Amino acid sequence: MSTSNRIDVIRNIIATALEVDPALIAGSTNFVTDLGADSLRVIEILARLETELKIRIAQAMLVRMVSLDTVAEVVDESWTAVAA
Amino acid sequence: MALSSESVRPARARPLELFGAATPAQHPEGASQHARFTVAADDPVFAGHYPGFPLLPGVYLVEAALQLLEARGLAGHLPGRALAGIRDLRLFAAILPGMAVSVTLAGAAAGPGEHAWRCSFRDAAGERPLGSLTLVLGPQSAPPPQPARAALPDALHLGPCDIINRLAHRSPILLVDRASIGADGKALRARKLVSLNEPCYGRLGEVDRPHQLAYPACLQVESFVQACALLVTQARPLVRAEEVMILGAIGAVHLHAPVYPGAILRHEVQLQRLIADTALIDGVSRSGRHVVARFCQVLVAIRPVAGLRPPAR
Repeated sequence: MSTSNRIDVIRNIIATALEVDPALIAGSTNFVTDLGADSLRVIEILARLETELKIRIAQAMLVRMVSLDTVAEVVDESWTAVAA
Repeated sequence: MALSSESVRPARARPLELFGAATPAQHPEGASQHARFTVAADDPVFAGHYPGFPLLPGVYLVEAALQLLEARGLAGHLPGRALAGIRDLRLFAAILPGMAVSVTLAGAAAGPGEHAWRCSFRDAAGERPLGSLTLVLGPQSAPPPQPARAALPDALHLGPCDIINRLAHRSPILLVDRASIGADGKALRARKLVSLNEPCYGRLGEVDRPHQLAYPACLQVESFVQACALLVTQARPLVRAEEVMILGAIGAVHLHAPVYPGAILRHEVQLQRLIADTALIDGVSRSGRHVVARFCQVLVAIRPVAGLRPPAR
């Protein structure tokens, strides 16, 4: 999967969980402060990422999952961990 | 509008009545449907959900959406057999007794032979989102092959006293009778007898088709969610009267067969993740040897009761 495709997949997963237009999710848009997400919605994002991307995200990474950019970093690190 | 119980005999078992007699679809097929309803402040469910802090069970939004489709003639021709599944259910805020709710239904992507409706619930002003879900209408199909039901070695058995003490739910919405928790705290088996004496059968008139007695899907889901709550509270007990387990989201419910009075629903709950006060759960429900429902990505969370009240105006 190319980087841009992966970002789009992640953006769509986030947009689905938060029920917002994907166009509203810029790289640095903060889920909590800008889009009103609570911890439950962030965990839903984690669950959908794991199911759709076939990865396992360590619980310790949850606190970093606040924007598209940071979620993409977490996904990359999780993929690397799977490949290792 | 809030309806009196005498005004309409429903075509199938229902936990409550939200819309009037069937009216033709007010928009061309495929166009959005809009409606408003108010849950009667004295609806019997509030006595049990929960004593002292009444909240509408979130799964009742499934019933509300289905009733609106039925009222508009958009839900198929077999009462009790129309619902094949639920997707992307999310609950955002508590619905309190007497609250007016606006609902919008719009056509959604569906598989062959199915119709799907995305249902959005907001407050009466249409500003505050309360919940959303997708109903998938169509024939209920057989489930994919399932692994054999595994035993729970060294299980902790929960009897009626344990269930009463662990769950805040009471009649008419306490929908688990027995449970067993595996020694590792990650798996639970629960049982619930479906009885003709339940309130959802109380408003039926003469019944001439068995499918009219199908146990409402929203109550099947509620029963499974309560089984989830029993599992989570084993690791994280609730502070009584101060905390409640809420349903936050369900990725998908696949409904494979109807359940009728006399059946024993047997839930198999599997904890996938427990992160602070939020649990991610999968599982199935069986009746006899058959899988009647599958649940994917059920998210339940412990929340303080005080935080569930709507913000002050």
